[in-house]
Amino acid sequence: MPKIENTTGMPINLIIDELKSDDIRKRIHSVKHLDLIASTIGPDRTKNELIPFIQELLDDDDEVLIELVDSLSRNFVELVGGQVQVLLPTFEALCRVEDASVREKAANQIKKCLTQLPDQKKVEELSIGIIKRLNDSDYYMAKNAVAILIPAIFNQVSQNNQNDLINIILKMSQDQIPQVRKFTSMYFQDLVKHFPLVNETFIQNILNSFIKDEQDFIRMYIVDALIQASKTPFLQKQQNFVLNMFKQLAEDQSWRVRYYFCDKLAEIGEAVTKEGYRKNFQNYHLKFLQDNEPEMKSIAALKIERVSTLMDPEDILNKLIPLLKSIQSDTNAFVRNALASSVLALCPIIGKKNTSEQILPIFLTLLKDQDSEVRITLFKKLSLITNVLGVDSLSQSVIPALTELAQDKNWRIRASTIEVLSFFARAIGPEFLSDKVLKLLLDWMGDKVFSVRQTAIQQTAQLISILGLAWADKNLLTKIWAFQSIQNYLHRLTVLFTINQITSQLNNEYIIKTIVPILQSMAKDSVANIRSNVCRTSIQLAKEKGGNVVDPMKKILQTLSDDQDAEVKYQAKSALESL
Amino acid sequence: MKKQDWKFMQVFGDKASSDNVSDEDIISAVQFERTGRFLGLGDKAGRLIIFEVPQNKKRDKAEYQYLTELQSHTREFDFLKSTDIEEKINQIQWLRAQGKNMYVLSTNDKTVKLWKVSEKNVTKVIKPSGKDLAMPKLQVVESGLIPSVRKVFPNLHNYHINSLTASNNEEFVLTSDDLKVYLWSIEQPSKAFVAVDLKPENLDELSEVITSSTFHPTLDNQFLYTTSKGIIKLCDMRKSGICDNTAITMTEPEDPAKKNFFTEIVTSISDACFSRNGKYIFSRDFLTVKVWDIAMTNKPVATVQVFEPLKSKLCDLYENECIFDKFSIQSTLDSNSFVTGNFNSTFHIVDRQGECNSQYELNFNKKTVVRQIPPKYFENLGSSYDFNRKVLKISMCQTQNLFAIACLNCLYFYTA
Repeated sequence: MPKIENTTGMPINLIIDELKSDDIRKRIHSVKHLDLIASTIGPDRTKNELIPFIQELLDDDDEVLIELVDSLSRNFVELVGGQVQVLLPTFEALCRVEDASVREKAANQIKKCLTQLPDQKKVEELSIGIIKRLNDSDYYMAKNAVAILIPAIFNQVSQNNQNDLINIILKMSQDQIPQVRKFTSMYFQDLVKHFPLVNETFIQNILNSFIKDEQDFIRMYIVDALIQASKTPFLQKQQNFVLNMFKQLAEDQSWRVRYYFCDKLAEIGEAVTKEGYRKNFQNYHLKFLQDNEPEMKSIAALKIERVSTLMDPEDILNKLIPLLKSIQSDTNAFVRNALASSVLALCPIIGKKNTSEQILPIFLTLLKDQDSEVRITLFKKLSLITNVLGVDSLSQSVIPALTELAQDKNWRIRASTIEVLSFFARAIGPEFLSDKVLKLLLDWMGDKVFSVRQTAIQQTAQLISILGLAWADKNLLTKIWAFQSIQNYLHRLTVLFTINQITSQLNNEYIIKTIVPILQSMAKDSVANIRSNVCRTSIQLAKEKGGNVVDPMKKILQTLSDDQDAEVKYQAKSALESL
Repeated sequence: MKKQDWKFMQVFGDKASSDNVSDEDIISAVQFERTGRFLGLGDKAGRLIIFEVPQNKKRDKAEYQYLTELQSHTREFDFLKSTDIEEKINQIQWLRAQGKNMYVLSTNDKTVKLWKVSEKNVTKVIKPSGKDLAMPKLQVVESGLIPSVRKVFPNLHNYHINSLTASNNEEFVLTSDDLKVYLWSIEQPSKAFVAVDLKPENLDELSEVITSSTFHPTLDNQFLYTTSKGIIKLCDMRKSGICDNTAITMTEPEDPAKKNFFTEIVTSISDACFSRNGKYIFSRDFLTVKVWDIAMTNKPVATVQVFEPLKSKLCDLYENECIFDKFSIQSTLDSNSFVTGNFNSTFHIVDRQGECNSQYELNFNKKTVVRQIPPKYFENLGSSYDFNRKVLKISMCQTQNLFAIACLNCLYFYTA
């Protein structure tokens, strides 16, 4: 592989020394550049000297270890000359640390390394060795990696070894330390995929012991295991078992387990097919919408979008929509927000007449919600209802709501509302960006708060990329260029910042015709800040666009290099030099 | 119920140092590790001191020895409020040891830290890498028990942290300050969940603050918290996210006839704990201990006057501010008695029904000095009664009849 270039500005031996520096930031920096060190000393020395030295780093702070595992994951296989097994002991040691993310990454790297070994026997020997050592370790956290690795190599080892691995999982699932049982439960979904290599009885036994576990986080992950099991022939063979267990989880006394179940409703529906969903789980979703716990109502409302594709439109009308009336006026804003993000997905399913009768009232209520987040979320999904009911009929209600948000006292809300415009442009098209809406955009560009103006400028760039320069010029840009004559210099600056932002979308013709005169006129502005920004804009245009734009820019810069302001003069001169 | 015979076992500290105790040496937290092998001690100077029972000795002759110490917290300045943040350790919790590594949570008023104490070799570079880019040569400079901070839980609490408990499954940590109870994930200290929020809409209307909180000894989904109005709330995390609304309330209404100037102050619960078997709750306020049966929450099964003579001294106690002292309470292993501290180097062990109140006196003579306090007891507390010798902190071992109890800068062990 090509040698890595040293861009650190430090000699390599210093980087090596700083691996053991007292300053943690220096250690992190050195660890980040392990690949540089390895590349410089070559594969043999990396294998024989660097990798063993890394053992000394394993006792370090979590921050360093996170960096270490990332660093080793990048391209170290090549850096050790393709000899993958050299890296395995280091990753194995990293599977024993306290930080969960490091352990998981290290275990996944071991998985990756094993896939790159050609000799199947070697893979079996190495993986079983690693798994057994980690399992026997004093550090119970090491069993995390065991739970990750066993499913990864299960189908590549002998029958005898498979039996040993099954026994390890059985023991872990009954360990007295809850975290160990948690690891087993979290990754059991990967082991289940190997059915029928892992037999029915085993799966049932493990799941039966998990469902009785008093720890919420162990019962929770059964949902994932059942989903995976349903994708294999296990579902046909043990349909009642699977459905019953799903139901137990949906009725669990701990709301966190019910929450997790609800979160995965769409995947469950896909696994058991529409008929299965409607018969067994639809009612649970409807019940969750009426749960006392706001978190449950929230997740159930959020899932409306996805489960609606599994439901019969009749049921949506008769059973689902009546429940939404109480949710739209729920006291908790998160619940209403969740509703706003998914209710409009029902429109295409139930057709124009029903949308108009049933969804439109909800839509209009949410549009007037006191929480601005709710209104903004609703806007982002607007296209779903406009596609069904048409833009015109809605603009009467939408535009006032948009205007109100656009003038909100809180600048952050004004800024978020601006972003909604590109949703409109993309989903609905230019018809929605009527005069009224564009006026809002121009108001935003003249807002008191810089961040709002900045967001507006960025949106303008977005709109150009979606709707084209011609449309933008006709409807928008000409009005922006008119800002040149505003008395407050901050707004005149907006003109220049806009040019900066949309440079890539302008063609040279347009620049020469429209932009150059603007810059020429602003180069004579009385405020030095403006003239300074003219320099910046000019050099940017010249460099990015080249061609026939360069000369006019040079001329502007030349006039400015005689400016009375020292800063402007300096900028113009150095700009000219760089050209 | 079989009466337990508690006897003095061991003491750290002596009369001389106790007479001239400096403020910073005062012990502010005590906690046994779950197997009883280690004991952690926190003091006002922010130090965490660890004792252990050496493994090679016989169990019944086991005595604790000093093992190591570390500086857990240091004094900090809160720039926003222009106040000092004291380094005093408020509470300690142990997590399961892994291999030879010990894990301890300790907290001061604002920050919770997870410490790891492990056998390590600290190495130093003695020959740096040179032109040949060889790996640096390392040498061991220090070997032994080295502490390191594993996790710091970011300053979330607006008010002072009064309690810290780890759940049995060690996934969560419960901390409480005056107005909120937070649930932290040990794995990800950056995520905290509000379990209880007592903040009123208008802070001027504030009348009740949270005084302590603790997890159930075995059920990880239940915890209790106590307030300054003498209310205990038992919360179940499975029922709802914000636990306050679905909590079971335990409180004894005030008798308006007995109300006086001090009533509000003395009803504030300083500490409460579950009995070891999880069936009862013992709550300690300034003058009494109330025993609640969780199955019957309308009134306590027993109310025990810890030391009645204090009732007549309330004016003095208010003057010298000892009326605000917070005594802790612990349940014995068999759940039939509780242990709680008092002034003048004394502590009390009382049975669950409140029938037998034994007062022990801490001394340096290695003797067990105990007397029975009958109900309706009166004694004239003379000038020799020392309110400064407060026995505030106790920790009960979870595996044997043994507890550690602290008075000023001295630590005593009692066993049965």
